[in-house]
Amino acid sequence: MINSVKSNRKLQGVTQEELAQALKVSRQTIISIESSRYIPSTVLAIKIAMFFNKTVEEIFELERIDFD
Amino acid sequence: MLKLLPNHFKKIGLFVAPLGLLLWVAMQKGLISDITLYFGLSNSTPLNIITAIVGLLSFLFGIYAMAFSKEKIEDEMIKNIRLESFRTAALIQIILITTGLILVGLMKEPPKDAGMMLFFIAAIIIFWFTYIIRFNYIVHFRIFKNDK
Repeated sequence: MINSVKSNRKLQGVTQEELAQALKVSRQTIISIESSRYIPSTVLAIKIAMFFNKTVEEIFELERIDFD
Repeated sequence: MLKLLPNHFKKIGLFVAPLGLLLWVAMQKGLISDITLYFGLSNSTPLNIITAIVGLLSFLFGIYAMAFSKEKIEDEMIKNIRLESFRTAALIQIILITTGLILVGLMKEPPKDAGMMLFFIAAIIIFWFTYIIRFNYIVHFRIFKNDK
């Protein structure tokens, strides 16, 4: 699964720390999500999408490997 | 579900565990007996026993506090890393115990009861050390390294 959290965050001029505080998670979690090393839960994915005023599908995208 | 200790217990554990281990080592090396003799007391056994008990309990409490203290923000990913670290530690422990027992079986003169007890105590301590080191390494170092 790939995501556009980093680009959306930079577009809105928000730091990792600010995003982490808004979502009530650690900065480590934001770093891991941005580097696609951690796939967030549905709840957190929806919270991220809501923060950027986008839909979950606009932020998170499945890759071919996810269907195998 | 088991409740975790508040975050500040991690620092307490980090201080108490080595201190407990030092006390226990000091007792084993006969330092406590030397101290009792220095103060002119003839029987050092009670103080040795007290030091051993306090040292071991402090060490165990320190390990417990380090392993079961919350992070500043205990979120879903941290919980996930915690679980993965437990799994890794358990796997390493099983490999160690299996290898150790095979080696003991192959020995011409296998260790007696005390030697085997020491081996199992070491296996238990290695489990906790593996868990604490892996968890803290990932949460406080590897994730930030990936960010760079």
